[in-house]
Amino acid sequence: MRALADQRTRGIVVLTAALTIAAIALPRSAPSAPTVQSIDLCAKSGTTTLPGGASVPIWGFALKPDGVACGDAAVVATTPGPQLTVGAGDTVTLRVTNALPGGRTIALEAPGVDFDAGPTDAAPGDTVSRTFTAVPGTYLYASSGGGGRQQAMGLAGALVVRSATAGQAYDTAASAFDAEQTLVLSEIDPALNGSANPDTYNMLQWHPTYWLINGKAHPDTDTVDARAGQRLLLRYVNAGLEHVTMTMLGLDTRLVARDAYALDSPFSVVAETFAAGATADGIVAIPSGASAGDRFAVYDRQLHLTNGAIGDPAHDPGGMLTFVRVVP
Amino acid sequence: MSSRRPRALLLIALIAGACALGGAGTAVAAPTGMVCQNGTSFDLTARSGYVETPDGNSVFMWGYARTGGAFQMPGPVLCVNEGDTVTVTLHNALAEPVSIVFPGQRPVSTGGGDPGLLARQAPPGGQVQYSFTADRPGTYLYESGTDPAKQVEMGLAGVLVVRPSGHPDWAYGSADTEFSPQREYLIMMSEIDPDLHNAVETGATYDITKLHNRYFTINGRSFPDTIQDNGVPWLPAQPYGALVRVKPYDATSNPRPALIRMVNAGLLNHPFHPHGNHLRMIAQDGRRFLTPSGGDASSEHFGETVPAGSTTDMLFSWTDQDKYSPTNPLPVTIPGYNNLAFKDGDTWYSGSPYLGYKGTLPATVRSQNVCGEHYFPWHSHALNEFTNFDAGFGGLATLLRVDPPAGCMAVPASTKIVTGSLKGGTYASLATDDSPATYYEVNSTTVAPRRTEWYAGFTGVPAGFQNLKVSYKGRSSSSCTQTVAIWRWATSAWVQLDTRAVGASDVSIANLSPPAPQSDFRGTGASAGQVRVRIACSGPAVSFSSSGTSMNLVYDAP
Amino acid sequence: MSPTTRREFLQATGLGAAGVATGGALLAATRGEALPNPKVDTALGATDGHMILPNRPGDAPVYIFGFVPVPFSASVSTLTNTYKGKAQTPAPILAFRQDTDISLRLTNLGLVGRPDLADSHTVHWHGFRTPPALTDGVPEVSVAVPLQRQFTYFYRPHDAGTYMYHCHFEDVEHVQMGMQGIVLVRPSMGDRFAYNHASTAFDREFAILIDEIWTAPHDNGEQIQETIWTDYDPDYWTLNGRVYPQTLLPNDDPSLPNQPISSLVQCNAGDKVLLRLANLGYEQHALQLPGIGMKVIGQDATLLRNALSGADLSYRTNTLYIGPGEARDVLFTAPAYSSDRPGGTGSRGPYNTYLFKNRDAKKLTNAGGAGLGGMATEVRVHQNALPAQTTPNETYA
Repeated sequence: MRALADQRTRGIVVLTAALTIAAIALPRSAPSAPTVQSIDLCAKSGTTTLPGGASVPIWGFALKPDGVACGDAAVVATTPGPQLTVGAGDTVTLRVTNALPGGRTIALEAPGVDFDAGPTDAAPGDTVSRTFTAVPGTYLYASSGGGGRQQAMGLAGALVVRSATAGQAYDTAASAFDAEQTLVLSEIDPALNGSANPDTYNMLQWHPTYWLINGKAHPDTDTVDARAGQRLLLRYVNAGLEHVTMTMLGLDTRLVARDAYALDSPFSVVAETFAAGATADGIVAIPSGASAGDRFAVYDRQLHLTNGAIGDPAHDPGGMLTFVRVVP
Repeated sequence: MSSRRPRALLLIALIAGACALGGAGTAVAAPTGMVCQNGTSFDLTARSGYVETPDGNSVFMWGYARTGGAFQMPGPVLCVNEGDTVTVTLHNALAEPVSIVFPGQRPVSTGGGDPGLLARQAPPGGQVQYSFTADRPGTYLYESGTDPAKQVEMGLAGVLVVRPSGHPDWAYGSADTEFSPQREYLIMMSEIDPDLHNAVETGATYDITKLHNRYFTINGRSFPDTIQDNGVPWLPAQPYGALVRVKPYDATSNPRPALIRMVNAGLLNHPFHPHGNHLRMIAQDGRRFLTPSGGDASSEHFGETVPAGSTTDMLFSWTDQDKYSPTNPLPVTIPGYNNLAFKDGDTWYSGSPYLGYKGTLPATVRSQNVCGEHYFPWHSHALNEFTNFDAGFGGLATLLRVDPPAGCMAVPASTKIVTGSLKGGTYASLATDDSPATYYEVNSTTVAPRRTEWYAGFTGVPAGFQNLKVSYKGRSSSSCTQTVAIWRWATSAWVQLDTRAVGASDVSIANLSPPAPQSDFRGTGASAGQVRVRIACSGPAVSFSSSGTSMNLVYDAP
Repeated sequence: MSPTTRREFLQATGLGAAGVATGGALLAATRGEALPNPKVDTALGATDGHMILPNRPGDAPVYIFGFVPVPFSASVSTLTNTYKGKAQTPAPILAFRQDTDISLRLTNLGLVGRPDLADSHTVHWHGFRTPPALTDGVPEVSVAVPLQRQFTYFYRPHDAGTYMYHCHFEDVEHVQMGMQGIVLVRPSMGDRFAYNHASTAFDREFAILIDEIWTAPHDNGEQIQETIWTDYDPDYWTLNGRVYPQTLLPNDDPSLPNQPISSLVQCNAGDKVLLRLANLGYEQHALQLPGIGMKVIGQDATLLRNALSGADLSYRTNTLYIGPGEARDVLFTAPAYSSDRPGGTGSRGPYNTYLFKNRDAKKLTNAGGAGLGGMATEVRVHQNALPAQTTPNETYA
């Protein structure tokens, strides 16, 4: 997947729901002037396939094409939901249609986004519209309905607001980058997702057995590709219920922002905790002497590196692990 | 790689390995503080062993040992200098592949071994070699990169320290990270699920997602083993203690902080809470907190959750703000100790509220206190980790010991008049210099030669004390020649320390140093721990009285 | 007249009359005069009692240990006769001015529900800088207060900020059983500042103690059963000892007689609101306040400003991640009221509602059950101006 900004033209944002990762070489085109735009989404049920072939029910967001109903089979929910990418200063209206089963109300939230006054919920079948003026940063959008259980079912995704300065995530020189990748972290407990009624499932029994990066677990995770010498921006979004401590080998990360606020004093880390619901932006300097094919592991240092139950196919190794891969 | 080598070469390799580790494996470490294996080339073997827990359990563990050395948990602390090319050869004495990853080091080149998911690994019986340039000072973890959820939990982890070049007493590359080299401490945290270890030991399957920790460790030990000395013989597989010992900050005599290198080798984040004072966090993962212009961006914490796999460097000083003492007392009434509880009849409390003083505890209470030092627990504030399985005040905890600035102080516990008679006061009158309030007063003999001679007895002076000094403040109603002497038990003789004229004004004689060997002046056997100091005065042609307002000993505890 | 309500207790600690944001005290500070350095006598009993949580089998109350505010000079027998069995959780919010000489007398009243248990108690002021070991409250390195005995702790705090206090006797049990509270120290600059720095000015303050409840040891304790603490597995998540929606009830609500402290945040548009957060649970928590940006200005009773370089270390965030034993001082500015925002109406008229809640759906349940519960409360921005706050966590009927 080419990075999203490649395809962005004045007044139109073309979004992809693809989850493959290739983060090479953003072109240095100047950003467009701010636009007014709407993004239509559905919240509906779906499934996801996990390593070993397990198919697990989810609730997720999907892009809603013009004139197509949420119930249409072509509208496919994913977890995480599609990445929404807009520009600094854009006036954006998110319109989410509630196509969840079972008479549930959804509640659209995105911590740190200053939505205009208005309703936040949508009853079954209804659409909620929330408008905001985009400020650069990395955000989580989610439904907070069901006391947070809807997010546990997968109703979350990343919202990226590009800075007005090309090649910079924020209004700081420290946030300059050459390539970028969003990493949405989450977990799944198939027992919750497969339960007859997630709203009454006993959450004291919630014990995830899958840990995901952009909805996938090792060995199905996609690599994060970059070239030697590039500054790679990793946009972490913790869409899960658990705090995640990520680490990497052979590289360190310079944290330049947390929760879409640029840090006054960026600092470098090897292992760092991203709290549930939090976001963080880190710049990884790919060594200029790195060779094509070099791989640097990026993984959960709480070592959730298995899939499913013991004895499942693809149980071990698995989990929240991917690699930064140096490409020519 | 064949394990059959010419015998001579094997022997050379072993010796070289031992030398590269900075000395014989049996070198005695200081009792407290971080223990370094200095060098640039290290030879390690992944092997199994057992560690002890305070509740009497013996847990099967894996660990990195110095090749040819005993099993140890954690692995040796590898201490190198900035810019060194570091080589680590890993031999594998386990039945499954094993490896080492070095988070924070880049890049790590490898030789030998087989490909692995996160790093090249040594097959059972084989070896692999890693090499990197330690180009950044700081505190780092090294740990297994093979099946890490199991192998790291089983104990395959250790610490790497990189010292800034030319400045072993700085944590990083500038003088504002200087620390007291005698006060460098390692706090490496981890957890143990004994069921997992038992399964590994017996070859049973174990669901790693059902990890259930029962033991929580600092430097491989659970409290109270954490406060035992480095290398205590009854913990042969757990050589590193975690007692933190400081003296109060003083701008002239003790200006440098202690350095606490905190490492989380576990799978869980751990929230660490120091009693007694805040910790100043200056770096994470070997990277200092600085402003964009290079200014200090450190912060102070009374609680810090250290992420799994992360390290943090803390500077610590105990800055006594109010300096409570017998002459500056706590403005509350302290009840008699028979109206207070001492947990389990065993305490680290000295019996006195004041740093450097000991008080009298009830006879049923045993005190571990040496000479009036303060103790404060440092522990995980996930209090379920402050346990040994089901027993509280254990687990992920150690103690901070704040020693009195002048060392230990002892005050008289008895007095005896040799020549003369009692005029007034008791041994307690000598406890503090509170003139003109309380004096111990002795009348001279009434016929020539008129003389007073009395001695004070001190108890509880520990064997191994150092730097003993005697101080006395007193006067005489008529000018006399006063001598201060100390009893040498070895020869049953008084050894004079001072002689001078003393009159009606108090004369303060401070810090008299008895000659070496000072151990001669401490009683043994039935008189164990006793010291006697004699004051004699003579000369006046009239009857007189000799009065002391304070007498004390100071010494450094072992 | 012995203080019987939480609010009255705060006044007895010397704060009420001396002024929390009365014009006189604040003016004294701004004129550069030193605020008075009082000696304050305050006292707590240590005993047992019960708290109420929903979704309990048979609606059984939950057995607790706790502190209870008591008069300073009463005899042990009078205190026992009046207060034994009347523990509250959390313990009262204590507030002092810096450099005050504080005598805090602890009396061990005994346990009504466990007459066989001879546990001692202590007070540990968590985060206090350089106390003597004797007043740090750790039994194994100082003293503990046995049944029917008293001990007076002494503190002279020099450093403003938000701290906690809790029993340190068998603390894995006693802290979980409820013997925990918040203590705050006000800067000499004035009662309406969090630290001695103008940027920490606030209009309203709320002390919120974060915790979990594992009901098994509470039930075990009442039934004389042992607990294996490494099995820790909480089933409730609380703010000031209550779960949502009881977090919204006012202070001293009659339905929660032993959980008197509210977590409802009521404010006016434009108010600078200070949240003094402290975590005495055993889990790390992440809380969010969607719709209102937060700024962390203090941490662990320390202003987030580097004393050496002067660097401003305060930071804006949407997620408050706070581990066990840590504290955070958080400022936010209440947004303008809008009838187009979600909200409600009450005795003081209409308000907008912002939910301050844990990010973990499990921690938003009561014993895992359906519906919003657990670690959540509301920030309500009122359309009609509320009067100035006179005590922390003030709620308006």
